[in-house]
Amino acid sequence: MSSSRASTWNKLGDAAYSKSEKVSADLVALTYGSFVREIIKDYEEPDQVNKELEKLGYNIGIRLIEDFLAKSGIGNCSSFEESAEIISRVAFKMFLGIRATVSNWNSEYNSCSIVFDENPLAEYVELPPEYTHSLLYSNILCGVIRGALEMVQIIVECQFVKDQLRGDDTNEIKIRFKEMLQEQVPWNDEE
Amino acid sequence: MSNPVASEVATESSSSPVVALAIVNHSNRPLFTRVYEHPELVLPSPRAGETREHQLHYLLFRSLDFIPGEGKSGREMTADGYLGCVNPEEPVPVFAYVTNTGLKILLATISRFTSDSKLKEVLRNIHKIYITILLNPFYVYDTPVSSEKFANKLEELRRAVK
Repeated sequence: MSSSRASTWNKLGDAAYSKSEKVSADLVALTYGSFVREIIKDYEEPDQVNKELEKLGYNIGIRLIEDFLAKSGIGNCSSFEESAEIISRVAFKMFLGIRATVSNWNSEYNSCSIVFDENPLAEYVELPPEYTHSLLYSNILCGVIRGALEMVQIIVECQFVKDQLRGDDTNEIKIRFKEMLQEQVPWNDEE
Repeated sequence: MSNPVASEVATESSSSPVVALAIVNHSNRPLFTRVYEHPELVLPSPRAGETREHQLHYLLFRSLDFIPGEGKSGREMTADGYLGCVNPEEPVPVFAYVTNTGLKILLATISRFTSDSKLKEVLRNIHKIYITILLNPFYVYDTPVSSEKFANKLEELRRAVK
């Protein structure tokens, strides 16, 4: 990835961020926190909770992509590699206010990691011991990425592999490219 | 349902004059207490079965009697809830800080001469740290705080008081 393209995207991200309306970070953190608590009450098992968070993220992602493309002015992505860079340098900045980076590309260039060491969703969170190694608190982000990419015909799998709430030094989402959709498929909101 | 309050005696002694601290909710239920060692602390001899920890806890909670309840008129209070020393008659001074929600933070020191403004700052900082615990979605409001991180942050604050 050439550094001039990277810096172009950084600038796009900064510009989109400065144009967006801001809300209180505490409000977002608290709202997301209550949200996760409710899901936990409804589903109990951490695995189920993680799945539900991902699903909810997916429903956000399929809508958010339009907003993102319109506000960032980004046109077509020429490759999966480019999409990953745009997600971390532009989208993460625009919606979460943080700069993420892409790393750990495999040799076929179909799997990489998005790494970020600030997570506004988890600002005040301390996971209780029973959830520390099973709950993926910010799993909604994986769903958002999956949903957004699906709307531009890119099918991926996303998974948290490192989480600061679990004691890791940083946060890392692994994205695995599955396939490119050849034609428009009608999406089902009720997935 | 009674949960044991997270309370410990810190075995490491340091030069900080703070010997005990408690966070108490609006109905005077303790949410966090901790007592600390200090070589110069003089307490009356404990009664049978009573430890120094008990004595310090009792000292802190007795001082709640001196804190007016919410809504009582005629209460003299600075705008930000710092009450200063609430038990002037006793040998071990207890300083208190109250909020409009009835939360009380109590701090016992070995001497009366620790600067008032420094103590006000410490109490305010304890309040700020408690607020970050409140913002943790997994912390249930009005329950005892069992977080190690919280205890460690308070320890840092305590050590900064000379």
